[in-house]
Amino acid sequence: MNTSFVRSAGTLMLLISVLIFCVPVQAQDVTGEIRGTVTDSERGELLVGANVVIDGTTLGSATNLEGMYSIKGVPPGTYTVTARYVGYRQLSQQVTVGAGQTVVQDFALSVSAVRLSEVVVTGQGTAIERRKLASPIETITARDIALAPVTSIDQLLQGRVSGMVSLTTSGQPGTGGRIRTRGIRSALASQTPVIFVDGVRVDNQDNFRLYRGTGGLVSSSLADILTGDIERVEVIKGGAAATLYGSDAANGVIQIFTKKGYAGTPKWTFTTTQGIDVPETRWVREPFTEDKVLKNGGFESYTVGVTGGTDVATYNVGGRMQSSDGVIEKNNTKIYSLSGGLRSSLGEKVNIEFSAAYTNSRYGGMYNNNAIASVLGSTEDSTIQSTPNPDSTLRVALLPDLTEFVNRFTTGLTTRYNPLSFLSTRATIGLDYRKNEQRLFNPIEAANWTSTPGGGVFRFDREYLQISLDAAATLAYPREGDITSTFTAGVQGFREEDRQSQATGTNFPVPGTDDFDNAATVSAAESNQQLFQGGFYFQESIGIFNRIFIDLGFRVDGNSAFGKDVGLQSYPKAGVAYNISDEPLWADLLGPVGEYFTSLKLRASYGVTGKFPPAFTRDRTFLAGRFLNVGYISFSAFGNPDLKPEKTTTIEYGFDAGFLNDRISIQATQFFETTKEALFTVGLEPTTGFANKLANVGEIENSGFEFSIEAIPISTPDVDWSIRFSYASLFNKVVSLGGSAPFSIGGFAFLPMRVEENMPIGVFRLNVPRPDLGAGAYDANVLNRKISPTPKHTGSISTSLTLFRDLRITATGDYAYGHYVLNTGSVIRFFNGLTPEINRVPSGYNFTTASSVWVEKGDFFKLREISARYQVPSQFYEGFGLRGLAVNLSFRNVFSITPSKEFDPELHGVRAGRALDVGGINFFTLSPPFETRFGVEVSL
Amino acid sequence: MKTNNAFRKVARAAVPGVTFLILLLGGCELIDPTEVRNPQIVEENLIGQNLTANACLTSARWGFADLLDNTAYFTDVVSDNYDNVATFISPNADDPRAIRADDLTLNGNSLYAIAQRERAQITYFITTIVPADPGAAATIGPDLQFYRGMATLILGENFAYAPAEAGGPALTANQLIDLAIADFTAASTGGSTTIRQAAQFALARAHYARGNRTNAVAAANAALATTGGTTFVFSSPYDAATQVNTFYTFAVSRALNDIQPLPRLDFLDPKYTAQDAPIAALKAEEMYLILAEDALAGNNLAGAKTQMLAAMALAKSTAGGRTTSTFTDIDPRTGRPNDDAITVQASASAPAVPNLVRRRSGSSVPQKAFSNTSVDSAAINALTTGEEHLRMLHLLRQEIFFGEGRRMSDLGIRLPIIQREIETSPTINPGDPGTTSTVPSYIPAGSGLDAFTTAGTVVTITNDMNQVLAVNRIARFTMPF
Repeated sequence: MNTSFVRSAGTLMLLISVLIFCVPVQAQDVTGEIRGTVTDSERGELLVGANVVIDGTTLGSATNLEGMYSIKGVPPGTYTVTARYVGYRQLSQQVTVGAGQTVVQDFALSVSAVRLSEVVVTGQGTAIERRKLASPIETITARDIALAPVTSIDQLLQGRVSGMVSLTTSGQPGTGGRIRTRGIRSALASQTPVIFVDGVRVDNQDNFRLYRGTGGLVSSSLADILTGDIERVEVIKGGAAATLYGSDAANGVIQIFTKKGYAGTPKWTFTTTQGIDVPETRWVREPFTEDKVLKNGGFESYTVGVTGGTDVATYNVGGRMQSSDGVIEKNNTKIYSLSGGLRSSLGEKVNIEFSAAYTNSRYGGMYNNNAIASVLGSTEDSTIQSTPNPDSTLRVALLPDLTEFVNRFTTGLTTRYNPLSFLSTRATIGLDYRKNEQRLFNPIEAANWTSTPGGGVFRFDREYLQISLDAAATLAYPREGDITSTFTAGVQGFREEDRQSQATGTNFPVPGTDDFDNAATVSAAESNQQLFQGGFYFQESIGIFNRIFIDLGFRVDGNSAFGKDVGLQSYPKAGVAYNISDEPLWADLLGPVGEYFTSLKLRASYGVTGKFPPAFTRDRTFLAGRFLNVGYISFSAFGNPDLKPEKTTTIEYGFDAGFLNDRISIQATQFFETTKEALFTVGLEPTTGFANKLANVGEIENSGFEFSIEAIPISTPDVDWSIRFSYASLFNKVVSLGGSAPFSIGGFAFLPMRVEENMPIGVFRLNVPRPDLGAGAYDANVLNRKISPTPKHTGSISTSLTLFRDLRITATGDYAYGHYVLNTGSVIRFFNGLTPEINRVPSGYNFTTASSVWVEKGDFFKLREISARYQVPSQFYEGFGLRGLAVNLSFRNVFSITPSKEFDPELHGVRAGRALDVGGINFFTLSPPFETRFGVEVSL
Repeated sequence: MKTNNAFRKVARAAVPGVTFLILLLGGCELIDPTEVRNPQIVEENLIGQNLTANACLTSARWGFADLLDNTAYFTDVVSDNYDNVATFISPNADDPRAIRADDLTLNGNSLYAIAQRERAQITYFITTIVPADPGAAATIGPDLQFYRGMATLILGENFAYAPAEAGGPALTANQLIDLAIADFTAASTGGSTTIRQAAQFALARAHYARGNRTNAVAAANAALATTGGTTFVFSSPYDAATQVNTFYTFAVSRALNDIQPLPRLDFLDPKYTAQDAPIAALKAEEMYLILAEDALAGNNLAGAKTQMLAAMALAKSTAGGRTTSTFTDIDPRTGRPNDDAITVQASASAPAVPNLVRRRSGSSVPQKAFSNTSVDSAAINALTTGEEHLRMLHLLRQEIFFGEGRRMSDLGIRLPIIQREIETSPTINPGDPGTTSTVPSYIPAGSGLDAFTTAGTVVTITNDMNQVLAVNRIARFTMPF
C-alpha cells in the first residue's frame, strides 16, 4: 500500500474541511421574501417538511409544523418556484418579488406514484432529482416509517426496497437481518451494504471476531440502529450509483437521515405502546417445547419527543424506553435511547446540521441450534425429554445466562456553505462509537449441562470507533439553459478502530457468583484492528435541454488493507438518463394516449465499485500461543502483498414510467454485474506450513431483473388507497476460480455449501441415493445449480389505505422462492434415533450417503406487518390542551405461506459472524413471534 | 462584475482558512488518521531476539500434541479400533477404500497438514530463528529435530508417499522414514536428556517401520538399556485450556459426537478420561514387541513368547506412570453392547471371551493410563504355531497401542496425499502414486473392519483382523513359517 498517498489523502481531507468550516458569514443585501403553504390538493391537508426551492438558485425552505414555508433573502426578480413532497407531483409557479417585498405563494400538490421529482443525495456528490439519475436510488419515506411497527433498520428494510432482501436470521433479540442488495459479490465478505447516518459511516457488522460458540447466535450492530428518529432512508443497490464510495460500496449503500425538526412552536409528543408477543409454533416439532419452553411475552415502550424551532433553527429531540420479555426464557430486552437533531442557518449562505444519538441496550439470549446448553435444540431433538426427569433437566438447562450490553453513540455535523449562486460546498464530520459486552455465565449447578466443570463466565468485549469525513464542492454552471453542468469534487475517508477482548473464568469454588475475581482459572485474549480508507472523486453531470442527463464520475482511493505492492484503486462510472416524455414531440406522438402515458424516463449506466479486503490480511504473521503456560510461536497468516479490493463492474438499464396522471408508476431495471479479482481463499501447499492465503483470483457474475409497480387506484377526499408490488430475479454464478481449488463456505462435512465454477455461490453438494444402481449406491458430490440457498426470486407487496383522512391502514409482506434449505434439525433428530427422521433415510443408506434427503425447498411468503393508525379528530379533545391524539394498532409476523413443515425457511441457524452468510441452514432456531402492539400518541 | 466580486469574497474567505491550515499542519501527526499498526507478530519481531528459540521448541511440542491427537482419532476410526457412529467427521473414514484425496476430514486440519506444518515450521525455526538467537541453548536444534523426525515418521507410517518440502517431489514412505532417522540420530546425541532417550526409542520405531530388522533390534535394545528404559513412556502432554482434544470429544465426552470401540476392545475405552490426558508416542512395550517380532523372524518361538510376556506384563503394570483409576462413564452405548455379562468372539470360530465388555450408562469402569491388554500369560504360554504367535503379536500391538494412532498403519492401510497438496504442488498430479488410498486386499470391503453381530449375550466380531494379518503373514520382518 502506498502509505504516502494515504497520508496525502488524510491531509487533503483536513485541508478541505478546514476551508469549509472556516467560512465567514456574509453580509446581507436588500432582498425580498417568498412565503406560503403547501397542501394536499384533494384533502387540503397541510404538508409538513415539503421542500420549496427557487429554481436555478440555492435558495429554498422546508414547510414548518403548520405547513408554511418562508424563503428570505431573495434578490428582486422573477423566479420559478417549485414545491416538492414525496408521494406528490412537484408543482412550479412563477413569482416576482421586489426589494423588501413579501410575496405569498401557496402550493396545492396532487398525489403521485411517480417519484421522479424527489431529491436524493446519496452517492451523487450533491442533491439531485431522481429524474436526472442514470441508475435507481430507492427511498423509504417518513410516511412509510411512521407506521412501521419495527425497532431496527434491518426490520424496516424488509419488503420496502425493491431489489433488496432483508431476511430475519433468528427470532432472538439483538440479532440482525441478512441484508443483500442484488447478488452475492464475494465468497469472503459479508454482503451487508455500508450504512451512513446523516453522512457518517456507522458500524454495520456482526459483532465478535473473538467468539465463543453460542450455536450460531450472532448479535449484530444493525439491532441498535433504531428507527425511531429516522426521517428518510436512501438505498443504493450498488453499481454506478455507488461508484463514488469506491472500495467500500460493492454491496451498496444505505443512508439514513434523521429528523431535524420543522419550524413552529414546540410540539411535544408522548407515545405509550403496550403489546404481547406470541411464539410462532407452526414449525415446533415437539409438544414439550411448545408447553414448557415457549411462552407469551409482554412488550412496553414509551417515547417522548419535542420538535419545533424558528426560521433560523429547528430541532428534534426524542427519547425512548422499551422492554420486552421475549417468547422464550431469558430473551428479555431493554432499550433506552436519546437522540437529537438540529438544523440551523448561520446567515443566508451557511447552514449546519447536527445530530447525535445514544442507545443503551441489553439483550438476553439463548444458545442456538445444537450447541451444548442449547435449550431449544435439546427439546426439539428430544434430548431433554429422554432424561429421567425432563422438567428437572429443563430447570437446569435454563440456568445459564447469555446477555449482551450495548452502548452506542453516533454523532455528526454537516456544514453547508454556498458562497455563490453556482457554488456550494458541504463537509460532514462524525463518529460512531459502539461498545458491547457479551457475557455468558454457566453456573456450577449447570456444570454438567454446559460441559463447564466448576461453572464458568465468559466475557467478550468489543469497542468500535469510526470517524468519518466527507467534504465536497459543487460547481453548477450553467444552471439553466439548454446545456447545464454540475461538477462536484470531493474527498471522503474513514478510519475504523475495532478493539476486542475476551476473558474466560472457570471453576468457581462455590455457587452464587459470576464474578471473574472468584473464578479459579482466568484467561484472556484480545484482537485489535485498525483500518483507514481515504479517497477523492470527481463527478460531472451534464443536462441537455433539461431532458437528457449525462453522468460521468471517477473515484480514486487507497486503503490500509491493500497489499504493500498495490497502489491506488480507481473506479469510473458513466450513465445517461433520458426523460423522453419531456420531449415536445411526446404528446404529439402519443396523441390521445399521452393522457394515460404521462411520463417515461429511460436510463442506462456503467459503474465500478469495490470491496476492500479485511484489515491486516496483507501481512505475513505469526501466532503467539500458550502451551502448558509457556508461550510459543507458529505460522499464522501467509499474507499477500498484492491484495486488492474486489471490483464489481455493473451495467444496468431500465425505465421509470408514469401512467394515468402519474397514479401508476412502473420501474424496471436489468442489471449485469461482474466481480473480478474476487477474494478467494486459495489453498497453499501443506509443505509450506500454511493452509491458505487470500488472493484476488475469482470472478463472480450476478445478473437480474428488477420490477416494481406502484398504483394509487383511489385518491378522493375520503378514501386514499395505494398499492405497491415488486419483484427481483437473480442469477448468480462463480465464473472462475482463477485456478484455485473449489472450497466450502459453510454447511457440514456431510453436506457442504460450495464455491465451484459455473455454480451459484454456496451451492449444496449432495449425495443422491441411486438404489436403481444397486443396494446402497449413490451419486456422490452432486452439484445442481438449482439447489442453492440463495433465492432466485424475491419481492414484496404492500398497501396503504386511508379512510376519512384520519384512519390509515397499511400492510407489508415479502416473498422469496427458488432456493433450498438444509434441514439440519432433522439430521440431529436422526442421530437421536427419532422415527420420522430414521424413516427419511432409505434402507441401506446412512445420513451421508443419502444426504440429499435433508435439503428442502425454502420458498416463502411472509406477511410482515399490518398496522392501523387513527388520528382522533380534534373535536374529541378540544379544551384539553392537546394538539393531537392518535391510536395505533399493529401486528407483525402475521403469517407465512411456505411448503416447509419442519422449519422456518427464512432463518439461518449457523451464523459465524462477519464472513459471507448465504443462509440456507435451518438448525433449531427461534422464529420471530407474532407481535401485537397497541399505542396511544398524544401531542401537546 | 458580480462574479468577480464573488470570487474576491471567496478569496477573502480562504485567507484565514489557509492561514489556520498552515498553523494546523504542524500538528498533523497528532491527528493522522492513516497510521495503522498490526499488533500481531511479524518476522522482524522474531529474528535476532534473545530466547525466541525457546518459543520455537514449545511450538514444536504444541504441534506434536496436535499431531498425535489428530493421528490417533482419525486413523483409529479408519482401523478396526473405532466405529464412527455419529460425528461430523468424514463418514468414509470407516471404509478405507472410500477415502479419497478430497476426503473432507483428511483435507481439513488433519494429520497430513499438521505433520507438514510441524515439519515446515521446525525447518524454518532451525534455519532462521534459532541460529539468530544469541541465547539459544545448544540442545534446542537437536530437540527440534526430534519433533520434526516424529512428524516425518508419522507421515511415513500412514502415507505411501508425501513430499517433504514445498515444490518438492513426493517421496516414498521409506525415504520419509530415512529423513526421520537422520533427525532422530542427531537428537539422540545432541538433544536434551529426555529427548536423547526418546530419540533412541524413536529410532527403533523408525527402523522397524522401515523393515530394517538389524537396526530396529539394535535400537530397541539400546533404548531398553537407557536409564529407566524398561518402563519408559514418552507421551505428549495436552493443554486442555488451549487445545481441542478431539479424541476426548469423540470418545469420552461424546457430546453430540460418538465414536464407539470394537466390542472386543470395549474394555480399553475410553483411554483418555481427562481433557488433558497425554497420548503416548513411544513406549518400552514397543521395544519388547519389536524384539518379539525379531524372534519370530528367526523362528525363535520361545524367544518371542518371552518378549511378548514382558510386553504384556509391562502393559498391565503400573510402572512408568501406567496408573489405574476408575471412570464413571455416562455413555448410553446406544445400539452397542453394554453389559458385563456379554462375551465376545473375535470371529465366528473363536471362543467367547468374557470381561471384554463393560457396563456403562453411569457405571464405574476401570481405566488404565498408557497401556493395557486383555492377554494374560496363560494365553501367551499356550501358543504353539508361528501363525498363532504372529496373531498374538498383532493382538498385543492393537491393545497396547489402542487410541494411539498405530493400528491403521499395522493393518497395512495408507492414506492418500490430500487434495490440497495435489492441487497446489507443482510436482504432484492426480493419479500419481500415493494420491489414492492404499488398502491391502485382505482388508474386508466397506466398513467390514467395524462389523459385528449380537446374539443374546454373545457378540461376534465379523473379521478377526489379527488372525487375517497372521494368515497373510503381515509383519515388518519376513516371517519364516
